[in-house]
Amino acid sequence: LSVTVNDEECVQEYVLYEGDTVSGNFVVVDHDIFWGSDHPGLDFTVTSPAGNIVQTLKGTSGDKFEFKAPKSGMYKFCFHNPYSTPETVSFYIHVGHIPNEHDLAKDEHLDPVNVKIAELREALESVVAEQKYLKARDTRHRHTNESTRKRVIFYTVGEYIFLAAASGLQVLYIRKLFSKSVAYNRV
Amino acid sequence: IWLTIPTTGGTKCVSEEIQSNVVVLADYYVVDEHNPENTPAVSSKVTSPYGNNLHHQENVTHGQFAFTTQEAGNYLACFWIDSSHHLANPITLGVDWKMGIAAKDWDSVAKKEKIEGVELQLRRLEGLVLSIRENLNYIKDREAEMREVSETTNSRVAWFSIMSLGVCVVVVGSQILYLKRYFHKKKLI
Repeated sequence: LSVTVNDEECVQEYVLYEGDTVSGNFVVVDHDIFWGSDHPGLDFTVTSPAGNIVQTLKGTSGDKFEFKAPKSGMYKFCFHNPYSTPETVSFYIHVGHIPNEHDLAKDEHLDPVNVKIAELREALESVVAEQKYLKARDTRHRHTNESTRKRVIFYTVGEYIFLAAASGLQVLYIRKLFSKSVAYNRV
Repeated sequence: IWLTIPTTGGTKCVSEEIQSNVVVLADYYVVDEHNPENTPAVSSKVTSPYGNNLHHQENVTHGQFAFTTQEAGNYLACFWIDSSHHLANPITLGVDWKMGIAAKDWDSVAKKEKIEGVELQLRRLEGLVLSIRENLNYIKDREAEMREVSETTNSRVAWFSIMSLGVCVVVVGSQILYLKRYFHKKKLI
């Protein structure tokens, strides 16, 4: 999903079990910066239900993160935009749960095969997350290309107009220079 | 995922870039910790890349929309609080957005084909793998397309700069010719 970040934008996600792996990624897709590519990027923070900051990433235009949830509850993922230009950020958050031996002992329906399946599922989910990341990067690439295209077109039109105007003015100027005082120039 | 909607006339929009022929299924519900008895209502609107209205609902506390994408592009879902409500706190909206294989109803598959337990789990994984494969092919196609576009752009820019240079030279030459003739006519040189 993508949201537009004006100043600060938070999304929350519920983590069901303690010790679950929370993974994800985000990419700033739409970076409307005119000069240079040194955009400071966004600040990203993850806050645990207790209010502790679990993870921070400062000034990135896109990154991946992964952490083990210290406890279950509502985790808050915040993007902070230090600049006034709105940015569109595409993000993906996944909470993965793999049952462990402790759960196995409690629930007799759960056998090792199920644990393996859960592991496999999480591995596949990580591939899916990677694909989403690649797709977001691709979108960003396209934005850059489209902006380049626009700039080339504007530059071309500007160059031609400038060229036509310059050559016209040159001719006019030289004609005027010579036709005004013929006698003086004859020397 | 839970989003926050600002109170004063704010609209919160989420978007997703989706290719065509993908099933999208989404649930949304208002979560309000401040006054659970009187949950405020929201309005929602979903539009396709070409501006078609796919879903529009006003004054609901929970809703659902489902569609199969016709066009590839950016699908936009917007949620806002009606201006008639005056709320002290921004409200929280839960959105459960599923796409493609994640939107598949596995319970009905289990019922129809009478499979359960490990087999069903494996079936789910198979679906996931197939969707990954499909996605990979899609990415590959996109990459090929992009490379082609980049290469044509490259050659076009090369030709264009040669042409631009040519035009410059021609203009200079014609200017010199013209001015020479002009001065000859005026008997200046």
